[in-house]
Formats: sequence, C-alpha cells, structure tokens
Amino acid sequence: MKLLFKCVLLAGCLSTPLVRAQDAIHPRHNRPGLPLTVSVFSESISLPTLAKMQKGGVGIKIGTELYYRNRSGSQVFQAVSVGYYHHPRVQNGLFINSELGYRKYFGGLYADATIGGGAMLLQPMAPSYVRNETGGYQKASSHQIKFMPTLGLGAGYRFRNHSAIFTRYEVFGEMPFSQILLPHQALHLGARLNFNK
Amino acid sequence: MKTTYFWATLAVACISLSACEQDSIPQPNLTPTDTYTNHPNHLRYQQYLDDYVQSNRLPGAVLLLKKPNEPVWAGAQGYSNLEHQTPMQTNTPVRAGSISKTFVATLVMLLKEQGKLGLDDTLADLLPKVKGKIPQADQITLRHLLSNTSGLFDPVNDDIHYQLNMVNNPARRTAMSADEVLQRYVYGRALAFNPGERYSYSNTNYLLLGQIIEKTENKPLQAVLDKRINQPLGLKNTFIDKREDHNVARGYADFYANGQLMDVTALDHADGDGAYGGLVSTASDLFRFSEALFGGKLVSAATLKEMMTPFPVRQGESIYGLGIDQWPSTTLGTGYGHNGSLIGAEANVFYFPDQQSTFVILTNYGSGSRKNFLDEVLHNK
Repeated sequence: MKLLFKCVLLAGCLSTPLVRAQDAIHPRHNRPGLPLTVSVFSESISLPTLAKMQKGGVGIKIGTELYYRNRSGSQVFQAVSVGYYHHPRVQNGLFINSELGYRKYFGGLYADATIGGGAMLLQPMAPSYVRNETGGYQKASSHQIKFMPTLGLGAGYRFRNHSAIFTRYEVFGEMPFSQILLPHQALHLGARLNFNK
Repeated sequence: MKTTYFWATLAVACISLSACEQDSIPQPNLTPTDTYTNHPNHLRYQQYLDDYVQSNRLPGAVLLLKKPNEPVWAGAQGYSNLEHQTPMQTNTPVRAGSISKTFVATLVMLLKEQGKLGLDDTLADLLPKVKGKIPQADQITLRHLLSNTSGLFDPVNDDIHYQLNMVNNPARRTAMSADEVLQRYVYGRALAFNPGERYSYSNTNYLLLGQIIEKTENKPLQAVLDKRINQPLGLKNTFIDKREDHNVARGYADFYANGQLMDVTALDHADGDGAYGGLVSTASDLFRFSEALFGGKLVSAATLKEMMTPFPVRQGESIYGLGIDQWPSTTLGTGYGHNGSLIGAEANVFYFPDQQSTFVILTNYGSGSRKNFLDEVLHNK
C-alpha cells in the first residue's frame, strides 16, 4: 500500500510543475481545459508481438493530459490515467500511471510515443499463502501492489475541435516477478475529448 | 461534471476488482493408508524429511527409501493443499513431471521387444505426417528421440511465447492437442544440430514418442500405459493428467518473488497427450515401477542395459540413456532414474545399483530444493 501512495505522490509531483508550465504559456483566461481521454483495450500476457497475439482480457483506461509544449505541429505531454482490466481466470488489475509522451501532427493525423510507469493493484485469481512463525501457512491477501512500467505507440486523428480518436499499442509489465518482469501487451481504441473547444 | 465521471468510473473499477473472487480450491478426500511408524529407522528418516521440508521452506514432501536388509520406509511432511490445510500423506498423488519419460520409454521398449517398433526406425516412417514439417525427419530415429539427441526444438524450456501463453491462458494451453503443440511451436523450426551429434534435452522428443505409441497401438497413451505397466504392476494411483483428481497435491511456487507461495496448479496441467510430463503418481507406485524396471520384471536384461546406456554423441557428452537419466554421486555411485520438474512440483526417483538402494522424493514446490541429505541417508556404512 505504501508503494501505491508513493506512486500517487510521484504522479502528483510530476503533474504539478506541468500545470505551472502550462499556466506560463497560456494565460488562465484562454487556457483550454484538460482533455478527457478514454480508451478500451484488449490485454494479454505476452512479449511484444502482433503476429502471435493471444486472447486475454479487456480493460478500460481513463485519463487526461498536461502539456510541457503545445504547438500546432507537435506536443510534449504528460498523461495521467487510471484503468482497470479483467483477464478471465488469471488476474484483474486496477492501475494508476503517468506517461511522458511526444506527439507529432501531420495535418489532422498524428503519431505519438510514450514511456512511463505506475502502480497496479493486482488480484491474481490463484490464491497465495504466507508462511507463519510456526512453519504453517495461511492465506495471503488476494491483492498485491506492483510497479507497472509502460511503453506505447499510438496513431490518431484530431478533429477541428481538438477532440481526437486514436488507436494505441502498449506494452506494460508487472514487477516484481520471479523472472524480473511479467510482460503484457494491450491494444487500445479510444477518444480524447476536449470539452472547451 | 468531468470530475464526477472520473470518480464514478474509478468507483466502478474498484467495485469490480473487489467483487471478483479468487479460484475456489476443491477439498481433497484422501484416506491415509500405509504407515511406517514400526520401521526400525522411522524416527531417523522422518527427521531427515522434516529437516528437508523446513530448510527448503517446502509446502509439503513425500520421501520413500529402500535400502538393502531393511523394509521400505515412506514418510510425509507438510501440506498437499494449503487452502484446506490438508496434510501430505505417503499415498498423496503428486505430479511427477518428466518421470513420465521413463514410463513412455519403457512402453516404447516393450513395443520394440514385441517387434512392433525398431530403435533405428525413422521419425518419417513412424509418423509420416511430420514429413516436410520437421527437418531431417528421415534421419531422426527412435533412438535419437528416446535419448534426447534428435536436435528438435523444445518450446517448453526454450520458447518464451510458449511459456507466456501458458500463463496467459492456462486452460487453453491444457486443451492443446499434441498436433497443435507441434503445429504452433515445433513445425518449421530448424534442428539445433544433426541427429545424434549432441545431447539436448527436448520435451518434443517425448511428445512425438507419445504419438508414435498411440499410432502403433491405435489406443490413447493412457490405455497403453494401463495395459502394459499399471495393471501388470498393480499401480492404482498412476495416471496421465487428463482426469480431474482433487486428491492430487496442489502445486506451489514463489511466482511473484514476494516470499508467498502461489497456487500454480493450473500451470502444471499437461498439454498434448501428457507423454513428456503429464504423469501423476504416488511414491509407492513410482518405487514399484522403478523396482520392476531395474529388477528386470518389465523389460529384458538386454533391453534394460540399452536403456541405461547413454547415447554415444559425437560432440560433448551425455549421461542420458533411453528414458533413463543418471544421478552421479561420489558416495553412492551412479543412480539411474529420472527427475521431474514443473512450475509447482518436483519429483525424483533414482535407483543406485552399488548400494542396492532407491529413493523417491516428491514435493509440491517447483522452485527447487537441496537434496544433499540423500547421500547420507542412503549410504550403507
């Protein structure tokens, strides 16, 4: 739980200077509101691969973006998101993460890349047990906190009102794991809604 | 408004997460049978076992010992099922992993003795369906498959996609037929070396041997196993893991490297026909099999010698015979048998001719254990 608090704190610390930087660029009276990003995604436990993609779980991710640089042709942004996925018979994950990203526009079309990390509250479907002082075993908590590194590549289309639709390929991990990291991949389909335009 | 949406979604996600229940573990219902408390060395052997379980932090283990001039002893310690705190019993069935290979090799040798198979028969002749899909299938012989010298790729140990697919969807992986495993992970892969050149342990060899047995006998592997080994030897608790048995010890591993034992039983179920690692058995059944095999009751002396002799590879060295591995020991001499290692289980059966001794050790923990006490306990002073 301490780790979760640390990650939330880290996300908060990362986001604070961004908002300030944004204030400096855009005076408060004409600053656009924060966009709302929503995506649904398919998830599987896998190395990055499209050729051997396996059926896994489904999830939803909701977040917003803060901008270090917000020009007409490109953006450097920090995304902050929460999400949840359900992987039948294997695990469920509830996560909060923050990603640093770069987005390049080609007219209405754009491509972006992100890197980040977060915390995941993981619930494996298989129970775990802890050894007690007498050498016996008792059931462990059904939830575990994991570090969740992420990498993503996306492409989308931005409308005139600055809302956008996008698809996004993401790999993320669960750490710690007995083999360092348990890799996942996710394919997102989503929209970024800008209510103030 | 946006804030409201955000918190509502978060609340739904939290509720969803907390509402999902973990797997329910069936309650075992096993009646203990054998007791060995009257054995003259019961206390000493039990202490060795207790120390082994404690020092390796195992959930449970079964140990069986046979030494000359004393009766068989078996003991159990710990738990077979942590959910229900079920004590491990000497008759608890445990996943035996690759010990399956010795059973499969024995079936092949029995068919060879009957003239139904020849050790120099080629894979292409025995399983024509693999022609054009497995390179050099016309040069890979039955002997190469049995001795792990074919050069065939081993997805179980060497393909991270196979391993992650297993974690991603354990039920899907268990449902895969041998043909599907071959199709998805083996066909079209180059051999690691020319057949017979080197030794390289590959579960694919035994996956194919299971297919060859089924094709030769026109029966499922389990039926052949029952007819040729289980029934003649009276092995009542030995079967290939394709039937549900709640009494089988659950498998555990420190899956997340957090000091907790996760129930990984779903990852240990066999795929294909179970020929390379799907055997479930008890310590006494495995001992009875070992005793019959090395006592010449299953195959002839000549066949047994062939099985115990490592294949003369051209590069490197091999201590693996035809389905029989070696346990080198400076104290006990060479032991013959097999080990089995799964994500949540470890099993060993070895016979030491110099000592006329056998041990069977089964655990429901797959992350390894130190077994050096066996040299001491088996050595005839």
